[in-house]
Amino acid sequence: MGEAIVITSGKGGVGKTTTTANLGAGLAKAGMKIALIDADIGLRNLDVVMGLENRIVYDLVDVVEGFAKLKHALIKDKRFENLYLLPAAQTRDKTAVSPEQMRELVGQMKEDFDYVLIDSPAGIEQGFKNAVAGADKAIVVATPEVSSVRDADRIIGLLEAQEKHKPFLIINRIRASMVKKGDMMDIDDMIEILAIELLGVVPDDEFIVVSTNRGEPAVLNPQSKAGEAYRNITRRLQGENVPMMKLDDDSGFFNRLRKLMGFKS
Amino acid sequence: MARRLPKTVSQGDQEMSPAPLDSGALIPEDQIMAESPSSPKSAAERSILPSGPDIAKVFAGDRFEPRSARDWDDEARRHPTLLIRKTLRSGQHVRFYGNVVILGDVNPGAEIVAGGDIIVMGWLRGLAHAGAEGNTQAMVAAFRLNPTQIRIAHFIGRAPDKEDATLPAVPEFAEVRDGQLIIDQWQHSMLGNIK
Repeated sequence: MGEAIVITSGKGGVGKTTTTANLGAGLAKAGMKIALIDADIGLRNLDVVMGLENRIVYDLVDVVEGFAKLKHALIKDKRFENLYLLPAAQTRDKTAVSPEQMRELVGQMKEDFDYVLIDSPAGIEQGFKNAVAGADKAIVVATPEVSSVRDADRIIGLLEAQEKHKPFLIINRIRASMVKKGDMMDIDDMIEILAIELLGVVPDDEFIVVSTNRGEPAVLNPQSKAGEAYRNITRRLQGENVPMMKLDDDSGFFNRLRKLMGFKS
Repeated sequence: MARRLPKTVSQGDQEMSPAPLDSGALIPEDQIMAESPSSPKSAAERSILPSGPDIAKVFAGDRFEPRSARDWDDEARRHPTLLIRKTLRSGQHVRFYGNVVILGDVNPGAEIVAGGDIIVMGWLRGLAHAGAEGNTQAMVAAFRLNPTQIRIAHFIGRAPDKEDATLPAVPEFAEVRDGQLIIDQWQHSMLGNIK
């Protein structure tokens, strides 16, 4: 019996989908059997980030409505035999699925997979409720911005009201140089407000843009700093004790990376 | 004749192992966008074209036999075609039991499901399913054919994973030939030769 984890944030654009893709690929690389569910019905992205868009035949709504079997809708990843994606429908909206149906679906999938990762849509309406319904645990993604932290706080409140396991926090897109200058919220400020367990800190990394556009998760790239952070997070998810990555040596690294990628530094 | 085979994907079929689409299941009667032409009305009542003998003159050149307005009405009923004058964007979809013609583009994430043929007078980058009720003779044509996925009846082909840098800048069409989905260049001599 596996575990279902929802990745959510409240605010849009903070990296829920990127985080889902990277944790999925990272856990699959570690040999786990993983299913990713895109719960963002009507604005699906996870398939694109995973580079699997052209393989979609049936989707989550088809499964829930009984039009397709789960095994036919699950798309096997290009890179890993043990990584599967259940894509969202693009031509429908959040009301096509109910929390009860999601709970049943996720419960069914947990029997076959070690981890079921659910990519939640932004917002706190039905899409969020659907995504959260079947999950045992939650990961809240927040960026070091006041608005993102505010929304994360709201989400944590909603999750606590559901009496789920206390959510974990991933701080995304932190820039050590800006934190140093006092231009960006630092990790301690955020943890002080949100008061949940920190699962990891992902540095801002230009390579994420490249990897998202190419459909290749950054976690598989040994040179990506964000990829390293995601690798650490996957190890922590499996119960390992991994020290937090040092963030203050990034300027040299980024320049090296830029040169490597052919960008002007 | 230049033929670009591997844009279609036999390997995809194995990976996806799709169940055959139930005949007609994709287009339930209550989901079709347009009603079938209501039968009792005469052509004169329905048409904004000149009615009566005049309509026959329009088409009656050397190559066509003169036909009455009623004949054309029957023709339209046998081959209903939906004309859409807009670009279909992500999440928008058209389901029609007849043919579909798009005057515009079909973007990634948009879907057309048609019982008959699909013609896109622009870029086809989304998903097109022709012959959705099982008609393997159906075809998909576009000025620029670069779809995420093409389906004809129960055949499925998907775009290659690596960006195909050399998308030919010519109109192309997809059809089922010898049990395989094929993409081929649109030859101007093909008009009238399509099955």
